Amino acid sequence: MSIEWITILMFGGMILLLLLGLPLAFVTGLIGVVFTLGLYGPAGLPLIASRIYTFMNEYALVAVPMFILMASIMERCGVAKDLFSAMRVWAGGLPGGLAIQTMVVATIMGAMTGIIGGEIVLLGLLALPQMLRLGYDKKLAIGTICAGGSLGTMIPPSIVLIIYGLTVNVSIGDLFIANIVPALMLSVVYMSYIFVRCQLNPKLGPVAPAEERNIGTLAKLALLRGLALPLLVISAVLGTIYFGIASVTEAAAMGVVGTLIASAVRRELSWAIVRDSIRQTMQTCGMLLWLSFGATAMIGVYNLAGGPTFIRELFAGLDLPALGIIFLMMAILFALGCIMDWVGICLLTMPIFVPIARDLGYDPVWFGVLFCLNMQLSYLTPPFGPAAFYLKGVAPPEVSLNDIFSAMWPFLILQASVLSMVVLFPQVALWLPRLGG
Amino acid sequence: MTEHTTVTRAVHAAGNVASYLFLCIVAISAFEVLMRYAVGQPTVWVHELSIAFAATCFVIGGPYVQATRSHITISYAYDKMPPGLQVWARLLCSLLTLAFLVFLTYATTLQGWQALQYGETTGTALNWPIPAYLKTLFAVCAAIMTAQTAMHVIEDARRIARRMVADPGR
Repeated sequence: MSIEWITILMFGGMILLLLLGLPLAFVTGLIGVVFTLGLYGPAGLPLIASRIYTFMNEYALVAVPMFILMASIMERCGVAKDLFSAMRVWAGGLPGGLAIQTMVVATIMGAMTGIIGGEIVLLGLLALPQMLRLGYDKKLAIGTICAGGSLGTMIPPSIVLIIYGLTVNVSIGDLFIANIVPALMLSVVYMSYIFVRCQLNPKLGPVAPAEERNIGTLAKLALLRGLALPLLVISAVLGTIYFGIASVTEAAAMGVVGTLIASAVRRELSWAIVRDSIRQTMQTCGMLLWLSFGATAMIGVYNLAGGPTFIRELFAGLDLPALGIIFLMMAILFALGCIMDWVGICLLTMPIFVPIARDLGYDPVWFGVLFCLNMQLSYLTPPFGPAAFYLKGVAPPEVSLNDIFSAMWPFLILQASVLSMVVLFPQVALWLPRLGG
Repeated sequence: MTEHTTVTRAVHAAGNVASYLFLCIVAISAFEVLMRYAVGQPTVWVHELSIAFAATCFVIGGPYVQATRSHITISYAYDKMPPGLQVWARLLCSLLTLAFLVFLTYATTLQGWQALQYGETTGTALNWPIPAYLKTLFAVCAAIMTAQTAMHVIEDARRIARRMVADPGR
């Protein structure tokens, strides 16, 4: 069978099985197995097993459960709630102030967690009812939460970046650092958007009644106190990675220790919280890792069949300038993001795309930032937009899935423009890691 | 249905026990950092043991999630299907999953059996038989998932049968 047909059949089969409702892990795994059998016979099967075994033996992968555990514990403590109420009183008389504060909270939480589901759920429970109560425009409020809640993947520690780093063999520490500026840029762009819209039309984001706002400065400062420890944990984890004191995995484990201490100091730590957190970590890891196992099997066969060379020649044959190829890759990632989750996309496409980008003279760290930004988009786009589903689960019943998806558009456009900016000006991502050495 | 719930319960119990390994990783990593910076004597075993602990959880996580059939699915098209079609799609998915898992079990059993026979070790300073252990565990978990999925197939087929009995017109 020619590689053209293999590519078409694999991709077509994948979409068909996905739509049938077969779990993603088994879609890619099954395609991997079937093509191995078809091309190499039963003797090829042990290759799949050994590829998966090699994948799970990466030390950096241990950081994934550590960050998930850290996030699970934080979610179960009152940190997010405190953060939100501390920020709320600072909103003052600014139209749209509450939405902007929500974005600040989302950004800080993104640095504490790194997985999006929990963050959107928390914001949906805390911030959405408050904004709706004040009479905020429904779409603006929803868009703020979904876009802000998805920032967790961009802001280090990010599990997306860990998997990317493992897949293409680049330093996860560098990736974390390179993502800081684009992530903050995204957050600032969101905030400016909310600010401008509410300045033009203050009805979109009404101000809280005066009695809620008139809190003494001392009381405001007292509210901030509860945040000191969690913020310390974040800076300790990121600082450790940035200055190369410990590996990403060790920093993540120390982050768990810090979170445990912080919640103990806040008198929230209980055995039930720890037990539920490790069980949730087990569940999340089971999903995430088996997804990776399936994708590893599929891309393994495709590699053996000569897929990467085929795709490279395909790109070369297009006669596009280097930047054109990068934009084309982004378009492909975006399209895949509408129907697949990021783990699958990362493991399936990055082993092919990154070498091409590298040959064109681009930095794989920079490409990782682009990938991460692109996956931000994929969280928000229908039909497979996890952000919308997470929010739907906790939003008041009058908020429909259609409301949620139609609220995303302005934020998608903002994301796409930040993405284009990082494509055109790689320095945005690269100056910080280069500064560190 | 009793045989199903027994397996589900056993898998969950095993997963819940294994989840304590995450805390073990935290503890030994903290110990490593402490030894390196406070005592100046980095350990040789933390690195390998963390990988072994994490990989154990990753592998057991498969049947753990499969017990509740909650591996990530894109249900966009499935949700739009009429219920009559949904039951068939579900059965087909279970059968396809079963096919994949049968082959995975075959592949991992071969791998595990080889590693076990030679007592494959890490080949590092410690030279612990971690690969022999992990590869065997991988095969066992793949086999458990196959059994779970076989039960899902029966469950789904029964659902279709029940629908047909309730409404022979379909």
